[in-house]
Amino acid sequence: MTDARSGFRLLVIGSRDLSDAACRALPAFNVDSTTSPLDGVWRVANEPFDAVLLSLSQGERVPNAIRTLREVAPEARIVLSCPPADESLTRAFLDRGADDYVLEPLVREEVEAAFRSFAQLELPDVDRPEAPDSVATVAEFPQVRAESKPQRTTPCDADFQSAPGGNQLPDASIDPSLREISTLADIMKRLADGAAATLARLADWVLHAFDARGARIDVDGRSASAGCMDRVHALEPIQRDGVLVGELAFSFDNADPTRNLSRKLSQYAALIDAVMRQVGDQDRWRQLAESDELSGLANRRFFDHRLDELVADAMRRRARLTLFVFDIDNFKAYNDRHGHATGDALIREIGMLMRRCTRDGDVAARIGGDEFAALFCDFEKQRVPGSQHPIDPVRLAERFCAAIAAHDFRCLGRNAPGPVTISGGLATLPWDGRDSRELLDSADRALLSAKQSGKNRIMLAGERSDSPEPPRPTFQ
Amino acid sequence: MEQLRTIVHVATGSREWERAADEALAGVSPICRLDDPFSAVVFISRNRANSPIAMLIGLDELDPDERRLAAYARQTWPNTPILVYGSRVDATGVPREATSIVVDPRKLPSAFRSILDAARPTSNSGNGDTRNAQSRDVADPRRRAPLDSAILSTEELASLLGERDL
Repeated sequence: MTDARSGFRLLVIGSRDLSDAACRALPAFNVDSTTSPLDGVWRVANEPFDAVLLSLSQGERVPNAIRTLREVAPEARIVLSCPPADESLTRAFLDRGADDYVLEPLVREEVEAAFRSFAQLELPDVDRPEAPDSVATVAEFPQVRAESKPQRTTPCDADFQSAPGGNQLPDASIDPSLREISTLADIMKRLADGAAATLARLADWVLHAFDARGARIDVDGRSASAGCMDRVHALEPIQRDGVLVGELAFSFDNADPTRNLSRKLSQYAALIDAVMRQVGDQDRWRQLAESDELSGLANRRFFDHRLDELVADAMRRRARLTLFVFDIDNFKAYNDRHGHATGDALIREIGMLMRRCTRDGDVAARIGGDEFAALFCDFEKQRVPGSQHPIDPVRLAERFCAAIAAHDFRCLGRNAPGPVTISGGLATLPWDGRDSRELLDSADRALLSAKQSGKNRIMLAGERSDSPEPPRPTFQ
Repeated sequence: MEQLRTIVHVATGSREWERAADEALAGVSPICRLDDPFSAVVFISRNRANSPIAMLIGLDELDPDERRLAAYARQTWPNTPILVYGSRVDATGVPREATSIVVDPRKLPSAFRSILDAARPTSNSGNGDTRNAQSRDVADPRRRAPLDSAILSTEELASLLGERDL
C-alpha cells in the first residue's frame, strides 16, 4: 500500500461539504479547498496542485473557471462535481477543458476512478477503512484503469446496478428486460394511434423501466409524463442526427438510483427517438394515403371511411350529421377554354377555400373530378322528438358559397367566362337518410336538383327542383 | 522587477462605468483590456515579474469574492497603482489594496490622470516603483492622508469605509 500522503495535491472548489466528502473519498490526496472559483484559479496558478474538483454549483462562473484552470495548469486533472439533474450540462463542459465529472453525493469508487488513473496510485483494495455515511461504500473496487486519461466514469460503464453484496453486474444488465421489450413491441403495434398516444405510452414504459417516481418525455414539440414528476433527478437529451429534439427526465424516490444511469438513459433516449421517428413516418404515409394531392383535401377513400364512422357515431348518440356535396358549375368549360392546368388551379383554390370555411372536426374532401363534399358534425344539441332540419349547416354552406363568389380566381385571367359558381346539395341525418349510403344519395339528389334548377344554388334534400321560388341561397 | 509598459484594464464595471473608463483611457496606449476576473488572474500569474504601469478594475460586475482580484494584483505587483471604480462599492466590498477608489464616473478621468502622473516619474526609472508618487498625488484608502478632490472626499470615503481601521 502506498503512503496515503504521497504528495498528490487536490484543490476542491466548492462547498465545505464537498471538500469533506472529497477528503473521505480520497485519503491518498492532500486536499485543500476554497469556495471561490476565482480564488481557486489563483491558487492553482501559484501552488503546485495536481488536480482540481470543481463544483457545478459555482454557476455561470464554471466555464471561465475551467478555461482559466486549463490555462494556468495545463497538466492538472480537472474533475467536475454535479447533482444528477445537471449531468447533461456537465457533459458539455468536457469539451471545454474538463477531464471528467462525478455525481453528487460523491461515491468513493467514482471519485477514485476519476482521479486514480491520473495519479497512478496504488490504492488499497482490502484494508480500506469503512467509509463514513456521507460517502457510499462499495464492497469491491473497480478495476484500475491503466490509461493516462480514462474513459468517463460517470456513465459508468459497468456498474449501473449493484448486485447484492456490492458486486457489479455486467454491461448486459442495462439492456431492456423481456418485459420492457414486450411492452415496447406493444407500443410499436399501436403506432397508428398517433404521436400523442404513443408518447404517453413511452412515458409510462420508461417510468417502469427505470423504476422511477415520475418520467417526462419532451420530443418534437410534444410532451408526455407518467407518475409524479415533482423534481428532476436525471435528464437525458434526445438527439436525432446530432440535433437536439427533446429530453427525457426522471424523478426518483431516492436520488441514489440516478447514479451511473447515463448509459441506460442514452439507450432509452435513442429508442424513444426511433419510435417517434416511426410514428412520424406512419403519419406521413397515412397522410399520403388519405389526402388528395391536387386540392389538399381528404380523398374519396378517407371520406367514405369517415362518413361510415360519423354516421354510426351520430346514430348512436342521436346527433345530427349534415353532408354537403357540390361541384363547380361548368367546370368542363373552364378546362376546355383555359386548359387543364387552369382547371387544376381552380380545384386547388376551391380546396383552399373549403379548408378556410370548415372547422376542426369537419371533414372536407374532393370525391370526384370537380365534386367536393363536406361533413359537418355536432352542430347542435342532441336531437329531440319533433325537431326540424338544422339551420347551421345551411349557413355554413352559404358562407362557403359567399367565399367563392368573393374570391378572385386569378388563375382564370381576364378572359374568364364569368364568376365561378357552384351547385350543391345538403342532406342531414337522420331526416334524409339512416345510413351513409342513403345520406349520400339524398345529398346527390339535392345537388342534381340544384343543377336542374339553373345551377349556382344550394338545395336541401327533399326540396323540389320545380319549386316556384328559387331555393336559397342564390348568387347572381 | 521589470515594468510592463502597459495599463491593465479589467473591464468588469457596469455599462455606464465602462463608457466612462473608455473615455478616460482614450488616447492612452498600450492598454491590456481584460473582460473578466479570471482572465485577469491568468494575466497576473503570467506577468509576475513584469508590473504594469497601472491597473484599473471595475467593481460592479464582480462578485464579492472576486474583489480579491485587487489583492492578487497587489500581492504580485506591490508598487503598481491600482484604481478601482464602481457604484456598488460598500464598506465590505472596497478592496483595501486599491490605491484609488472612484465612485463617481465623472471623476474617473481625473483620477486616472492622477494615477498616470504618479506613475510616470518612476516609470522612467524602470523599476516600477510608484510609492512616492502615490503618497503625493493619489488618494490612498489605506492611509488617513488628505484625499484628492477628484477622487473621493473625506466624507465619501468615511461613509464608504465606516468604522474600518484604515
